[in-house]
Amino acid sequence: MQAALGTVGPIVLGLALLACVCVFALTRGAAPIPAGTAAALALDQLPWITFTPDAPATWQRIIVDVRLPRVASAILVGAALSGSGAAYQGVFRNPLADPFLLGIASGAALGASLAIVSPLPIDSYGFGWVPASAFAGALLTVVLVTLLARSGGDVDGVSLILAGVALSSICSAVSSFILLTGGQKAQPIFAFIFGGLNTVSWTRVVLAAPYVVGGIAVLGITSRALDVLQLDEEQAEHLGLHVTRTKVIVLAAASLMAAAAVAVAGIIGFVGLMVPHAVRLAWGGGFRRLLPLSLIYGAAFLVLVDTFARTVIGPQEVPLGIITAFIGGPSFLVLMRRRRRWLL
Amino acid sequence: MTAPLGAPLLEARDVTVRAGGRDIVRNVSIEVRTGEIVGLVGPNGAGKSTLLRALAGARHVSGDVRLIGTPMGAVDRRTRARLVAVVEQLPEAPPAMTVRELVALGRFPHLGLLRRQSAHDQNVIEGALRRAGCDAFADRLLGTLSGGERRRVFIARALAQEARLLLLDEPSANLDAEAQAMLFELLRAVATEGAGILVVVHDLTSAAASCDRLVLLRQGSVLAAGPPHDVVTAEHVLAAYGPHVSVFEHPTSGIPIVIPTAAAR
Repeated sequence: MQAALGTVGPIVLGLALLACVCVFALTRGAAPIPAGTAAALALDQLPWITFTPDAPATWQRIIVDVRLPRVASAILVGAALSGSGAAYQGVFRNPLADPFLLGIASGAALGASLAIVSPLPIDSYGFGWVPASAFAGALLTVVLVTLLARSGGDVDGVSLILAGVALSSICSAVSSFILLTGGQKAQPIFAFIFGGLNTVSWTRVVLAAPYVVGGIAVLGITSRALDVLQLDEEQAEHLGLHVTRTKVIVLAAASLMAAAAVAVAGIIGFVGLMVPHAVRLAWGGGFRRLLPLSLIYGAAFLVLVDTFARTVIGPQEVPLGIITAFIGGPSFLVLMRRRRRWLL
Repeated sequence: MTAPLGAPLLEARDVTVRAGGRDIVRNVSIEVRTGEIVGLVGPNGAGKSTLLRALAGARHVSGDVRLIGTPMGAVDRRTRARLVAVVEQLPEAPPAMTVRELVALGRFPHLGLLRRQSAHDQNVIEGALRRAGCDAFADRLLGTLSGGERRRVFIARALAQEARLLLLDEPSANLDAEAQAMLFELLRAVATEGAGILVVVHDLTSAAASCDRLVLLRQGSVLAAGPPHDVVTAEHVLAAYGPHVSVFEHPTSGIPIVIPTAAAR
């Protein structure tokens, strides 16, 4: 009960923050739109609410076709990245685990790149097989990185990150090679490598959402097991947990979410590292709290950062991945210096 | 699965544990009944911890290990976790987890993934914290605890598990004299309520004073087993530990006391 009350407050706070950030994002851009109008135009899109704000038709098009899909995809990607980051940290018992640092994002991007240049059917948005292929790439990377970091039955924390960074470089190199040699057809790969939401569309959001929702559902069900996994394997087994099975399920679900995020937005690093860590610092480490809070605050964080990305030197965009790396790199270093405290 | 007082909880026959190409534990038979505390003693490297872990998981073990009459291998994981609580010698404690969160994990075998904590679970957790003397620091992070406090937290988790059989590896290490005495009082109370306890104890004197029966291991085999008086004898202690320690009897209680031979001269 105490834990439940302790979770409701931060969740309400997070949802309120998310709503504010979304409205803010909708107002910003080449054509400034007042917050009230922007919110009304957005809410009007919901099937059971009707608003007819007094606004020019261009405003409606800007909100519905340009800014809203962007906000929606930022929510999806932010939640997917930080939720999967929290899950990876739980499984590997390593606060530095993150879809980007583990090489999973680059693996997914390589999978997506291969789908783009393959003869597989692709719709006009360059999508179709992309999420599935990204998922395959993500899974393959997570298996590889785990095997590479394994020594004597346990996964070593430092080797894990090193293996992840190495695999990430390899996958990125292959993706770049495909981009350079793939001709016109390979051009969308550019967006994956830099990472950003400038190419999003409603189609992408709708195609990727089920992956993220499915992953979240699995993580929600297994979150108590993730708490048990924070103990060493032996203790977890003694408490009746099927350790290997649980890890495989959680890794698959987290990779599904990370792959969906990459399929929508390309490689965006460090979100899965920073958000769960901030949540843990503020409200403690239990997964039943960490998981929903990471999803909400991750979504809010990415909506905010993306708004910054498309307005700071507007009309030109700064790739989102560059901004998250700019904030995330230093936080990684700080975390690394303090890592002992969290690991021992 | 239930068992009346005095009924065998754990029966292990001819247990052999092989690791690294040699037998760490050889043909050991051991039995723990409800209501009793059995002490596992022996010099360093005798195989006490290995035996305890083997009994806890019954993996990589040859021999017959039964839990309330059922072969250990046939008991499913969660049932086993509801019946057997294990506290290893140096369990890893996630530093950012609070004491109460860790103790609450003892309810995992009862709750599984989806069942919500009921009022009963809450009571069990709070009761376990209180009995193990952890209620004063229940909201502190594990990373901030002393060695002795940490031991008690893991005892509390084992209590929260409400298991019938407790397997404890040196729970009294790092505890001062008073805390040690209180720990064994607690274990006695838990045993009286119907649990069976198998505990590795380093210190022969406190093992003899606190356990109903002792099993003395030497080089992986049982050297002696039975009531403390019959196990902690001058002959056995000489055979297991060598000539540097000697056995005396407590003048009033008759409990065997083991002290360095040099000090006894």
